[in-house]
Amino acid sequence: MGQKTISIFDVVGSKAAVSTEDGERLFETISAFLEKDFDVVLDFANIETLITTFLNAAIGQLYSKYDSPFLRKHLRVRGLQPEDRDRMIKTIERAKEYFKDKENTEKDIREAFDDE
Amino acid sequence: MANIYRQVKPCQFETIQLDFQNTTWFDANMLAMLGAIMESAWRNDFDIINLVNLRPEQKKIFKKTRYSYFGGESLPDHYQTTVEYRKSKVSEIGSFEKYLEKKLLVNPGLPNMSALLRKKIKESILEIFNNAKMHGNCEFVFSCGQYYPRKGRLDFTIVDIGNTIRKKVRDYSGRKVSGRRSIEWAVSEDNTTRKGNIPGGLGFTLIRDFLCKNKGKIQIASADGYWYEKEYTSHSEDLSDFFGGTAVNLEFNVNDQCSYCLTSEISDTDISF
Repeated sequence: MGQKTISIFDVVGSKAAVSTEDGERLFETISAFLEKDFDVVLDFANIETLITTFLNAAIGQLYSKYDSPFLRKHLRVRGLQPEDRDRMIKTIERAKEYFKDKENTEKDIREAFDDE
Repeated sequence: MANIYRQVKPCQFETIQLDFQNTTWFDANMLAMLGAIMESAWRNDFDIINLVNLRPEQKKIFKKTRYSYFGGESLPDHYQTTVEYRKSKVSEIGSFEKYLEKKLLVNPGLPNMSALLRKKIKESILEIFNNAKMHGNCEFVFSCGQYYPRKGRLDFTIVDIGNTIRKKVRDYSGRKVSGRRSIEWAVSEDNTTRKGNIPGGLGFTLIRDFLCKNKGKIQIASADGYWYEKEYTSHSEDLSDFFGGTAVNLEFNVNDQCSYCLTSEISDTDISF
């Protein structure tokens, strides 16, 4: 099993990782390598703008296919700007929560508006 | 502005005069709302809206933003207090990002902000742009900004004329939720109307968190609901009028000296999947 490094700058072709489409493309690339038993390193060098829309599509979506122990073992990040690390951590936490409670979410929202 | 929308909405194939006779001031950022209303009237009902009795100084402000009503005709903005009006395709976030960079963040009229503050401002606006795309199901987003040098405030408004927040929440919950309650729910942590494999519900939380620390403000009007938050205090109300889209105004404190780098101790290797 080898290791593949994906340059986010190369995937999005810009210093701004902001669109769902680019996020989806990164998600597909990561998935393809993971399916082939590669360990994956995501290199965020030169990325200056990073928003949750991109991260949800690229990283959050991974939790629809893989569980946390698997991703922890086979996925790493590097080159994130210090202020973006918190955003990355929140995206990961949110994704875990989202997929854990996905089935209950609709019930919850109906209950939230029970008095309407 | 919602009242204008309500009055214009039933018209079809008409020429409507929007009279500015008694309007002494019109914030440039509100041109985003006016642009959206004019677009909606034209696209849906072939109405033409004429602006009449505009005071010369107002006309000047409109032209400084290159507001499309004047065919994009522009005037120099010597004091750099406006941010150019723009109608953007939702599919072109890359080009919108460049517009923010060139027309907003390099505005020489703005004080010397830290790189991090600029970055936070840009990211907040881009999150709202993407919300319009993901949830509004609309084709265009309208934006414009006004800078108040003496107050050290920058207001930037983003408007779409797609699905209202109320419609999305009603469709999702199956409950007849009011516009006000829908916005309250939508801006709360972890809440999202998404159903697929891409999680959501984080964007508003980050924006609110930043704007509270920044001592800025966020205002949202959608359907018959209005909500705002300023310095950790939020307020909402029912509007007597209905706006068939979503308008978000972000007010930034551009004199902010905070670093926002609260997580500098975290390294890449601490990020645990």
